[in-house]
Amino acid sequence: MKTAKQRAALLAPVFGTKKSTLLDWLRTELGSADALDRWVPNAPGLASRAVAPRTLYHLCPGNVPDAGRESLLIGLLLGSHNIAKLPRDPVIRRSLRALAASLPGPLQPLLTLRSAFRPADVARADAVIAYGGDEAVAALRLHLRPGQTFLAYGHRVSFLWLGLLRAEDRDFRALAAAAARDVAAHRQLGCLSPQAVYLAPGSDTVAFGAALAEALEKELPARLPPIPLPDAAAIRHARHSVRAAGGQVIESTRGLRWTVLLDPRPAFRDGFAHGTIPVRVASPDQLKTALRPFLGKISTVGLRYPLSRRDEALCLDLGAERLCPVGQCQSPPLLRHHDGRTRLAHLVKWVDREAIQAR
Amino acid sequence: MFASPSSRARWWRRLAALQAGDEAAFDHAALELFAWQFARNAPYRAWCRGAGVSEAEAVTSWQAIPAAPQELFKEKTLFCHPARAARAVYRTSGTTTGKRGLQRLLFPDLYRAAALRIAATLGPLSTTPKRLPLLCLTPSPEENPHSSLAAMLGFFIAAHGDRRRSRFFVEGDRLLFAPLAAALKKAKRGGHPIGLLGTAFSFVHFLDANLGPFRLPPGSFLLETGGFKGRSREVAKPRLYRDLAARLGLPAASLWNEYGMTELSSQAYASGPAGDHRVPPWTRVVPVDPRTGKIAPKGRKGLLRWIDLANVDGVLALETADLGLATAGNGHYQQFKLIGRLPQLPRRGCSLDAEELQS
Repeated sequence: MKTAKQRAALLAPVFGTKKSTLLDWLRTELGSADALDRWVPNAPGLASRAVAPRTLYHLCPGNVPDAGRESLLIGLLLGSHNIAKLPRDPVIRRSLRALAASLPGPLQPLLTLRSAFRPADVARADAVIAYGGDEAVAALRLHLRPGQTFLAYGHRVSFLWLGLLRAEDRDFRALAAAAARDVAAHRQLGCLSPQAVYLAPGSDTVAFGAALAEALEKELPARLPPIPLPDAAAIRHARHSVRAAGGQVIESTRGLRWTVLLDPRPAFRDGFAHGTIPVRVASPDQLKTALRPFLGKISTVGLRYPLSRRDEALCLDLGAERLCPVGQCQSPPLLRHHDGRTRLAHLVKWVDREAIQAR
Repeated sequence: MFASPSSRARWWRRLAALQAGDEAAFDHAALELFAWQFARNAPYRAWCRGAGVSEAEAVTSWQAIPAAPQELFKEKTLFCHPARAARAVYRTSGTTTGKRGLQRLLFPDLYRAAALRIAATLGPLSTTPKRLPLLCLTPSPEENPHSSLAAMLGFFIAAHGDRRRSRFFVEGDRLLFAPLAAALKKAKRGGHPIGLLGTAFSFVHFLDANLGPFRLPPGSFLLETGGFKGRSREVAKPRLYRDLAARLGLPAASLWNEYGMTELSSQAYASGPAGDHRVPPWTRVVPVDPRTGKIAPKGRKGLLRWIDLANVDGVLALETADLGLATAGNGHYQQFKLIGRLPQLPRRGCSLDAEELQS
């Protein structure tokens, strides 16, 4: 596959997007859709050309499939040879294998899947992309050599901030439904999955909790995969904890299918999954205090739109990396930054070609 | 019912007379104690009502007694007498959230009687016919009067130890390595067996201090209890036991684990790194499936729930955050395998275990 445009044309249908979107992505991050294939004027007397990593190593995450898919899309669009270490999760493994099998013939040589971690793969890569916790990233660093590009996407948390919400508000039910969409997607296992809904003091919290519970029941598929024992134990523990603190628990009549925790404590905690969502009450100042231990780790804040300047300022103050309407947390645009960084531009290097300078 | 020393002594005699596997007698005593605690312990009664038990009489078997979660101790005073009447107050470690719970005892008499009887029948004191020097890697009960562990070790020394040569080797926050090494050398030289008792993290500090090796005389034992609780590096149990056995010259069977809770009055003991834990006839430990809240069948993991008839002043039924499984085939729930504390859930993010990096 010679050019990025050709690759974009082949990749678009496999990844459910448009060729024009992929070209826009290249333009946005590299300045030109042709930057990988020819010299692009950059400044007077200076042309530049992007050079993709020859070999790109992907340590694919085991919690959600989309991150691994997008990582591969990046590598394939850049034209690198991609080595992908599959996660242990069998469902995500199957999904990535199916993706590899569906690649058009000319792209097949650009992807090698690995079931096991091989340090030699990392050693020969020009760039490494890893999705993982601090411990995993630290372990991977031991295998890196100087000069390798390393993009580590670590632990992040997301939440919803809906401000003052009254039952009579016109968008009350729509917001509950949108929040349920964010919570339900990907079994709430990703870094974009909300770990709490925050409402301002004076909100109709109980009514919102009930509406959210109703929406979760509708949003979740009728049949869910079994919840692993430690996760189930954590949900049970979370329910106990909120009840013990004097809060209210609204729970599915079908076991651990979903749980809405009306938690009187504003403190932010993460580790909630499988449709378990605390609803907490906090003023903007209390929210800042609650999120303080997570500063630098806040990915997405789902907000009520139209976005108020006050909410925008609050999110910027918290160091959030992404602001979006509630209901859209789990569907970020392709052209977004990831953990605050560009995704293509961070991987390429640039070669400059200078013209003869006038004397 | 449990307000006077004589009534408590009567209850103890009744418990001590229980035979292993006598379900009818156990059930009868459990329901009697539950009814009393339900009437006297308002927060526990509220918890039971939240769990659907509105009257004590509605519970007709010990398996149906609602268990209070450990979290409840951090939020409420679970005590069947006026709070000021407590003669002993023990604090939990606050392992998970940093918030500490309290266990109040009207008198420590039943705790003492139970701890001594269990250690002498199921624990390391069952293997030592004579009084041994007990070297404790904890603060003394005088130095830390709110530690249930220190209290228990104090009971052991008073009832079963060589009082002159027994000692606590933690002062302030310091483990007194030099006197400890001297005591161990003396035991080795004199050929007098000893008992070495402490928490898992104190033994890690002991190993890290590079004392020894010692070859303790036959008849010596080591008793380890508790987890690491963020106070030392964590070491997997088989490795900890292997290292301790090598450092102290003890056979694996002489290394014991005591598993108990500050919130309870009885304990479980296991010998060797892979031994099952056993509890006395007045106690049951059942694994509860967190998905259903029901008792897990034999061989299936669950959260361990204790029913402790010696725990008269607070609550007899406690649900822990520890995973385990029943191993005895008779359905009497007096033997189980402790798997350990509920693992910290993966931080929500694009998560990956360091385990994934193992080829």
